[in-house]
Amino acid sequence: MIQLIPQLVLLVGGAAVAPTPVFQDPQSAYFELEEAYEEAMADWREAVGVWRAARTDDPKLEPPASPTPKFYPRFLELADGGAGRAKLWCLTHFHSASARRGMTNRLRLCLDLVENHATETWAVEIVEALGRLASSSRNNLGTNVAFGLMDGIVDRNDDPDVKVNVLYNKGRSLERSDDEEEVERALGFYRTLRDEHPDHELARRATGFLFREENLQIGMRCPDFLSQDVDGNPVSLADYRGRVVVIDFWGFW
Amino acid sequence: MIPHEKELVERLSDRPFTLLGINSDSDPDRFRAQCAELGVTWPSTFEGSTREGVPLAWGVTYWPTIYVLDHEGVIRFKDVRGEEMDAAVDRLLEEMGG
Repeated sequence: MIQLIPQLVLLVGGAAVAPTPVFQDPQSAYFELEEAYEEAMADWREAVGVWRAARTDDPKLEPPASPTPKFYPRFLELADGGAGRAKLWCLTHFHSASARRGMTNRLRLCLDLVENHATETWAVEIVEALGRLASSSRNNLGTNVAFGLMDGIVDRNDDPDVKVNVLYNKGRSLERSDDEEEVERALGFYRTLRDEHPDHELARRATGFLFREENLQIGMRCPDFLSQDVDGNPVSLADYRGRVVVIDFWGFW
Repeated sequence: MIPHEKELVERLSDRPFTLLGINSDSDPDRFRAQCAELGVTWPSTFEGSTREGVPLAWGVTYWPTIYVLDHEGVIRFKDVRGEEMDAAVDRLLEEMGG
């Protein structure tokens, strides 16, 4: 869909010599707005840094306001105009914008994305957004709704990458559950991913989770590993056989 | 974290016990400097990332993730920290001696 910039329409209408027509499609309008948003976010992060430093002297100092709520209506306008990426932006920034007007219903945004944008090259990003909304915590969609929407994308888009991401994101949203049945469902998604798409990068991560569930439970003999220290010397668990060992995954960060 | 682990390692320095770190920092020079500064003397791998090597293969998604193994290499405890970690290690060392 091509949209003519309104000011330009007036200009063209009134001018004796018509300038070269400039068209802006919603897609490029989106990228322009996104760039402006990223700039505003960079400024905001810098202001937060300044505020943090100044706060020690003046604890009552107000933190700088995030630019997201101000940008939300502008993205929403593009979304209402049919720009798919703007819809996705609104979906992923829904919380931080505390958006309350216009097309604010998240479920409607989701349905719109699935129905009208499932075949876009960036469909995987819709799947990832749905993955983040899938958990049953807070005000999320819950797994049933989110999974249904993901399946809707798979029905419309036969790119294997989309299918892999759906399996992976379903697994992710269930793997940390306290409910054993849900963890078992996660395992099922990961097994399908590992067996049907073994070479995909996400299959490596799914395989790690399966390894943990199948080999790293209390009462199991711990599998060996071979790695290296910071100087490149080999380190393996077998080096410490016969000793009590605490394996500690850590970092300074 | 580190002060406690240092204490544990020092207390059990003459026992058949090893604290084995699987480190996911990314900068080797910074890693070396921080180890020296905080007195990390126990063995540790350097994975260079949270998403490669052993953490990837073992499906580690949160830090710290902790496994406690007895002298036969069986996983006996997971994610015990602080005093709980001390108690777990002491118990397994006792089992060994008994």
